[in-house]
Amino acid sequence: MYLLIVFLPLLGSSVAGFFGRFLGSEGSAIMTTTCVSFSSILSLIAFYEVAPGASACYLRIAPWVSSEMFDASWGFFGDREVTGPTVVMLIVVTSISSLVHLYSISYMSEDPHSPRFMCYLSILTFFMPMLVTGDNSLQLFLGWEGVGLASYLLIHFWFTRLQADKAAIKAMPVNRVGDFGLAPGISGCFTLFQTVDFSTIFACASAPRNSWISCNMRLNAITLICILLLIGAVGKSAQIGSHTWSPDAMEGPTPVSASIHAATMVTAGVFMIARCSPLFEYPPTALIVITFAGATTSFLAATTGILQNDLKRVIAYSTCSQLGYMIFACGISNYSVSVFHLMNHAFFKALLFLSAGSVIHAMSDEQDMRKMGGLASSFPFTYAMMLMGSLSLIGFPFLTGFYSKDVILELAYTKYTISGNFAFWLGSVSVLFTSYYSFRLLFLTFIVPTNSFGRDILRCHDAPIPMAIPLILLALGSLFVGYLAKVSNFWANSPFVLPKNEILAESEFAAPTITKLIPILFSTSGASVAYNVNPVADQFQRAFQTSTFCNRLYSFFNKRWFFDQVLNDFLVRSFLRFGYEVSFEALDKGAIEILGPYGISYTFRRLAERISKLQSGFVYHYAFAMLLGSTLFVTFSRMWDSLSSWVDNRSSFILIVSRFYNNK
Amino acid sequence: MEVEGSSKKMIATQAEMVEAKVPIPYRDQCAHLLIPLNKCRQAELYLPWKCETERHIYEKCEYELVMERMIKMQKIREQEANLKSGKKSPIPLIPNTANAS
Amino acid sequence: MSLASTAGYVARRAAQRERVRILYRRALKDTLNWAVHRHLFYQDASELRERFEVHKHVEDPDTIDRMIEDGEAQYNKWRHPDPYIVPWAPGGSKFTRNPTPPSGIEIVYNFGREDHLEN
Repeated sequence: MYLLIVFLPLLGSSVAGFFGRFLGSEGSAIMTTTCVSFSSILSLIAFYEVAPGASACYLRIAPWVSSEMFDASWGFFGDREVTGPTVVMLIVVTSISSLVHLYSISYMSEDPHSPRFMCYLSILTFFMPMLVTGDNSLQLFLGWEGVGLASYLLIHFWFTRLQADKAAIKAMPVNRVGDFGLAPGISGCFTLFQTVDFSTIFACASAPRNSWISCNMRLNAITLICILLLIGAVGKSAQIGSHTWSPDAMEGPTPVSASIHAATMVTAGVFMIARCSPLFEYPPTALIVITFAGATTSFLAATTGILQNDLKRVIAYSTCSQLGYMIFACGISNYSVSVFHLMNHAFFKALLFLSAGSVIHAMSDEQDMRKMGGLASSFPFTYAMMLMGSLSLIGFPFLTGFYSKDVILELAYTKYTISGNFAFWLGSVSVLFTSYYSFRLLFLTFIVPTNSFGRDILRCHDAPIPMAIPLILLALGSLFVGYLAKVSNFWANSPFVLPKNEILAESEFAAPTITKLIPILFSTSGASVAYNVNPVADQFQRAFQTSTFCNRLYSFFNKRWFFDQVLNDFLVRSFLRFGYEVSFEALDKGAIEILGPYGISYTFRRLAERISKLQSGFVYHYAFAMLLGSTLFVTFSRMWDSLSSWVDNRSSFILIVSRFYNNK
Repeated sequence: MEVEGSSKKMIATQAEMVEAKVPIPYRDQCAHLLIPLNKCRQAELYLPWKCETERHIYEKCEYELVMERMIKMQKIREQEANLKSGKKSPIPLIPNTANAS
Repeated sequence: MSLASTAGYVARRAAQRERVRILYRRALKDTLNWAVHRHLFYQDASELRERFEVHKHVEDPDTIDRMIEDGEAQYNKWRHPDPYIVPWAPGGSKFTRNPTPPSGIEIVYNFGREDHLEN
């Protein structure tokens, strides 16, 4: 049964991919959706077995790479204590993916390439459980690369569009940069522990060891490994160094954004950190770095989201910001709360993306918020769903987001370290901005008087049934899952935490009440600011046109702090130039070709031509050659003993060949 | 088993805690209340409105432990302040727990 | 003034008129980018029109040239970093999304059931 969870989506995707022309778009849609839904039902059963049922499951399937010490096998790992995150992630990934499949049946019904789309979605749903259930880091890496590949394929779905090509090409290398940190991390693990198997690594992690590398500072080996793994997570989960791919990834269709950027791929980084929690607990430096990175990302993404104009970009930045929350929750050693927030976030973010997709589909693919308005009366159902998702996101009391976001902030405060406090204040300010842009989105899209074109309004329709059902299910999830699951996160699926880092009880009782109220206060103030700026008293907009400072601020936030412009100018251009001019033209087409196939074939052809000219047809040429040859033969055979020490066969061959190897 | 500085005794033995797979940070003086709580939770499928009684008892015990720790911290701070200023305050401003020295 | 310079003068004024028209249209679209709400846009558009109308009577071509350059500099300064582009226009979000295949190629999308699918 456990194998079915992982391999059913692969079956669906290969059938839809190879036979999609024969099945047609409806047939491939039915096939893939059925496969992934079965997968999600089975993962519910697996969750029931592992978490409340407390019976672990460890399947060792087949050996994959076994060469002396390096022994990696295919395995399914569903043990309660070490990998509570695994089954939670399985449920999240498969259920959201099945809802997205159902949604895209109707969203992509007008697109002629719908079978290919379903195939790519199922490939994503295959690689993600492969990542999550791996019992060694090599399988995790396979899944990691696989979801990167799937994201490239999906972002790049409308490949005739130049912007989509650029975005997909940006996504792949930025992910690669992360993998450039993950791969050395895994090799470092192997060097240190002589194995890639997770259970062995986690058992050995506590053994003390000396400092290993010093490039002007003492770096413990395990600190280095954890920082490298963190770089991998930064690339995958769109944290501060590598967040540039996330908003451009909105070039893909909206169901893609919902599945990849809400639930699946971007959570792979967080999952990896939570999975390797025994490894991350030991170096406190790495934990501080994680906290800083996560807090900075959440702040940066939140400030960028407040002034975006594209509906999907706002939600994309919101995802970046919440991922920053998850990462810094891991950094303060609360991995189970982080995975809990991951689960909740998947629900309400997928809800937000899918309802945004419903709005976009209804407004005939109009994505800019400035051209929407007053849609609350046109489609009340979608408005209700979006409202529920937004309220959940901002941490409205007793909805889903409240149970995870506010807990994270309290824990950050209770950590009593500099990094914890930094994270707390940045996180709280992010709450303010989150609520501001969520409400701005709601106001500009649904509540203000209409700014849209007549052709859109006249043709708009509310969500059809296959799009409405996933929205309803996700809305139920984003309302109630937080309350229902808030207990199971604390004790049952606990990843390993060092006793000195455990602060759950402290935060529940020892934090002053004002700390617990700050997030709510901030989100209310954000909402009221949004209300004041957007529907009421909107003369603030004029300030952007009249004052230079406001104009520059607007550009600064709109263009994502000019981060990718700086990155483009300094790094990307020089790398591209190196890649094209040096390694492609000079080396690949140049030196390697000349020394390799092309040069050799050319030389020998010319040599053959030259030699064939010896056959001139004149007898006296042949007689001369015979005379010359016999003279040389007699000379060399008599004088071989004295000459042989000076004649080297190889050099004479090269001399002879280079006589004919003239200019090309 | 007595624990210094705290009014609570360590009731659950190491063997019991290992048997019940209590996570290491939670193996404190209240662990004997955590074990039945976890069993109840598992039986009730971790629904949040069940197991109220056990949870209340456990949280009360943990609350008292947290308060004890806070009192100890305050005492340490006051002692350090006294050392710095060099005089001793005659009136004990901080209450003592039962077994504290 | 001779005939040639009159023709030159008229041509120059016509070119300037064209530039002003282009500048005005672009500035109006840019105002729409900044002012999202319609009532704000109407106010801003009226103000913009006022600013153009104030100089309606100016005759001297050199002054007009200078004012046009001023106006264009101002327009470039206050341009919106994220302008609204219609989705199927170049630069929009739907541009070349599923272009029609070149003629002469026959693509079978859905065996025997093409009438269900809108291509």
